[in-house]
Amino acid sequence: MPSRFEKYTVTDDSSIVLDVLIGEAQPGGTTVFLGTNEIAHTEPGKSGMNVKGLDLGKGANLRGKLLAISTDVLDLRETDKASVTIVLHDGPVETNVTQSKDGSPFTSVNFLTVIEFI
Amino acid sequence: MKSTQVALGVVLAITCMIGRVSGQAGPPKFEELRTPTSPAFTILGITPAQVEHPGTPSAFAVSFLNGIGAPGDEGDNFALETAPFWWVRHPKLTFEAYQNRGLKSLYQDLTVSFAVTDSAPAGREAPDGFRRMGIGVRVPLLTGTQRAPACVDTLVTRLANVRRPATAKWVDLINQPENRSRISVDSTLLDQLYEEAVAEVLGPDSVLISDESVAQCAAELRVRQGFVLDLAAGTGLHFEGARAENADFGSFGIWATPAYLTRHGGLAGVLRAQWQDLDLEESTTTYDAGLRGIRAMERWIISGEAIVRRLNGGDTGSNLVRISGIFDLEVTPKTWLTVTVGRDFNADERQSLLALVNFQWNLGNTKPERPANLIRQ
Repeated sequence: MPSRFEKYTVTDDSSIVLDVLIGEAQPGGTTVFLGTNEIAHTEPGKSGMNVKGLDLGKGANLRGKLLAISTDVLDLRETDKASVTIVLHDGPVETNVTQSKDGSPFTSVNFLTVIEFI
Repeated sequence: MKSTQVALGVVLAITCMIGRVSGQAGPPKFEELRTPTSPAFTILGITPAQVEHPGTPSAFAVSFLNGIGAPGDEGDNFALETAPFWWVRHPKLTFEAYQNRGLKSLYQDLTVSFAVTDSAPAGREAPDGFRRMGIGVRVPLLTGTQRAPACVDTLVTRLANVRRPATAKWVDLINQPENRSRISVDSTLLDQLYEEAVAEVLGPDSVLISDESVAQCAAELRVRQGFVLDLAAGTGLHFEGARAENADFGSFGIWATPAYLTRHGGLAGVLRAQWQDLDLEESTTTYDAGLRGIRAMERWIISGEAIVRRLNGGDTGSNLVRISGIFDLEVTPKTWLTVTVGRDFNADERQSLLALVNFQWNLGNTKPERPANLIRQ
């Protein structure tokens, strides 16, 4: 499965906001953990398939913690592409972390992303 | 069941009798005039056994150059179909945004087809080194409503529910001090720990969802409902001696399929204009306009088609009509009776009405997929 580790520098007073977007027009779902606590998961038909505007808290409280994101994507399109983009907003600054995988038609793909706040 | 068997016997007896009276080749094919999936193949009159689907610009370039071949070379028949929008990644194009794409389908769903053949057009002989090339585009102008089928939510939810305990275990593992210090330097550790977690929580050979269920859901996702309008155009070029400088337009065609589709069928118009033998002095032009309808229920399907054709060739012109109908009935859970009736364009008008109408019947063990013939889904 595709996986990625990134370090993300925070500022003490900024609120960090998270988006998780499943791309290539594919459906899927995401579970988000901060430290060892599950803080969000998507529910198709209710909250939708993407995480939008999840407030993670102030940078000072996040420093030293791990943000772990597990995203399942179903490859239901003929395009045969799957991807997930993690977007971190620190005030006006936006950081994107994208993972992608090709060549698995009509299967599911699990993307793992871990971000360490420093 | 007894009454069904009696009815079946009567139907078979009648259709056998009428079939012997008519003695014709059979009813016309129902799906002949739908908007072609690959106009390049249709305009050349070929049905390629293998079609390449390049997914990147470089793959398209390689396929195209291999297919077209060097001028003067002997080349095999070649067919290609591709959707240029998907040549590049769209990491922020979400499922919901694509389902509600509206007029963006003009470029998101546009497909290009390309074919090369050394075979001659129907009714003509090909000189040595003769080659034809077809180029076509197809675009769904209106896509109707593409509601996400229930299977999408079901599969996503099932996947998440089954995987969540393993994910929680994985999170515990990566937060353990001995692992946490290593995940930033060992790029494979995240995967290893996840596999450990899955093996411990779900078992070593766990299958979360079957590929078959995903493929079946993908097929359901392609179903369109409401107003749809597909447009297609294609042109065929002739190359005497397979040389580019000898290129000549041979044929051109345009198709339009406006339709209203429902869960159990729909009504579709068919419009087509096709010009053939443009490289000869006496070319032919064909205009078709018609209506097709389908009602598909659990145990029966009824479908019909009526088409008017204007055929112009040289100084003459003629108007032709074609009518066809198909009735499918589930006789037993594993047996389907199909009765077809039709009058093709070339039916002899001097014969009696019965001779003009051609019946056929057939027994099969699977439910016919008639709605798929109404318009490409």
